[in-house]
Amino acid sequence: MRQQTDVKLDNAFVVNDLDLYYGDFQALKNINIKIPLNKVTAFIGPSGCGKSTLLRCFNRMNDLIESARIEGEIYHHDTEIHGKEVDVVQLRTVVGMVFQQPNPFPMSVYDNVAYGLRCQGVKDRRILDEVVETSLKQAALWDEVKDHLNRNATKLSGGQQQRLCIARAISLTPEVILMDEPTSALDPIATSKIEDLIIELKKSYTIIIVTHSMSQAARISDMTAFFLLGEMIEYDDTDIIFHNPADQRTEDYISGKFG
Amino acid sequence: MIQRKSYQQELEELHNSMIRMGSDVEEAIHNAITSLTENDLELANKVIEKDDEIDEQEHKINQECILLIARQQPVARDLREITSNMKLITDLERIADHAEDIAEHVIFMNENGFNVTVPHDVVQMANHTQNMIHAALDAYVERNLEKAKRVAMMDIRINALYNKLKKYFVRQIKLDPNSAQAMVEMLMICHHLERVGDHAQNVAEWIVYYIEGQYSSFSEIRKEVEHDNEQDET
Repeated sequence: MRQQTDVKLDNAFVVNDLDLYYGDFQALKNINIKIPLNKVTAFIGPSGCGKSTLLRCFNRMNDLIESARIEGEIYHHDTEIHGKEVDVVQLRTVVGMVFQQPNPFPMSVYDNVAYGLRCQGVKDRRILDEVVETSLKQAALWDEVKDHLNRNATKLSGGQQQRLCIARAISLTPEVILMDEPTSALDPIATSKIEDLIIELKKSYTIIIVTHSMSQAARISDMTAFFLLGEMIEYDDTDIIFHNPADQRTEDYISGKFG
Repeated sequence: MIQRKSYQQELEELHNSMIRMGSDVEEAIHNAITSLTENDLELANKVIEKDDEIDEQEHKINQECILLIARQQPVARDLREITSNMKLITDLERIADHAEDIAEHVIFMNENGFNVTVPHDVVQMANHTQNMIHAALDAYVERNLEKAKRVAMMDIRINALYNKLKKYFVRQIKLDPNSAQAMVEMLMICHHLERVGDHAQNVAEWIVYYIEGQYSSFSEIRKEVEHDNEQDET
């Protein structure tokens, strides 16, 4: 294993020379990126650029795709996440994920949030009650559901369902939350609630978000990476990317001149 | 594939509106100076009449910029272009105001029978000021960083001439107290020219901001140009 000279405590992930193939197709090309702790990092780029593929690398979701092959390294602090000693289930506890379509389980609001802990063998009702309440509060959903905790989660609105999914991810006290276009299925009001939530959550969590909305990336992220055809073209402070990007391709994409 | 064609077109139209306003402002200052050197009242009146039109252009461009921001949510270079245009039009409008003020001084002197020969240094200062505006607008049209930075150097000469002329007019007033009112009028004209130079300076600074993405003040740009010149000489 390579000596770790560039892993710093203030980074949640350090990616070195990452290539990813789906069979013969190379979806990610020589990606090098450091994801800072307790910041929101946005991945932007046109469809098929590799941004979601890279996002899924951070909790090894690509392991589920048979043809996927990865070269290079991804360090979570001082652990290379593909190492033999790494427990993938444990990794996904530390690195939670929220998807494009809200995907609550067809069970009560309470059971959705308690699900992860129960899987870990927690049965103590007091602990479960406390975690459910704290997680729902952190996800800014508590006030809306506290009187209906036994209601089926599928009856909630789309925006509420997405916040429930965030609460479910939070319940396992992850360090990182991956979000794959978390508001693309939501209306503007539900979107703004999620965006406010993301800004609030970064105090406690590192967030990596894939978004097709340039204005969303500009509004909520601290860092932005622009991807094109599997390459990371530019990665910098969001203020710089949206005000004075270095690469013409970034400029053209964020200005909506291609994509 | 090129997208957002109508947005591109709107940006192009904004750029053209800016060029039209710049050209009108340049003409206003040129006419004001000509009305001074040739004591041409008709031209002076034309400058005053034209000022309302320039004010209107400023409002129109400002509105275009606000709507572009609201509807198109520009970023990066487009955003810098629009925001710097909003600053530029304020300076251009102020230059036109100074042209109007100069024209009013010309009319006042004429109506009060001040038969003053315009000193050579005032003509020099006026020519430099016109050249500076022309160079600043040229830099804008061409989006030329080097030209914009060179404009920064031109203000030094105008300021030097202004300081020299202030002393000259004080001396003249002491020598001939009866000429005091006419000399004060001339001094005021020089003051307006000096302010025009400052606004042309601002125009250049906003062009540098638009191109480079960071604001550099006059003194920083001047130091940079002086440094480059020194490098060239060695």
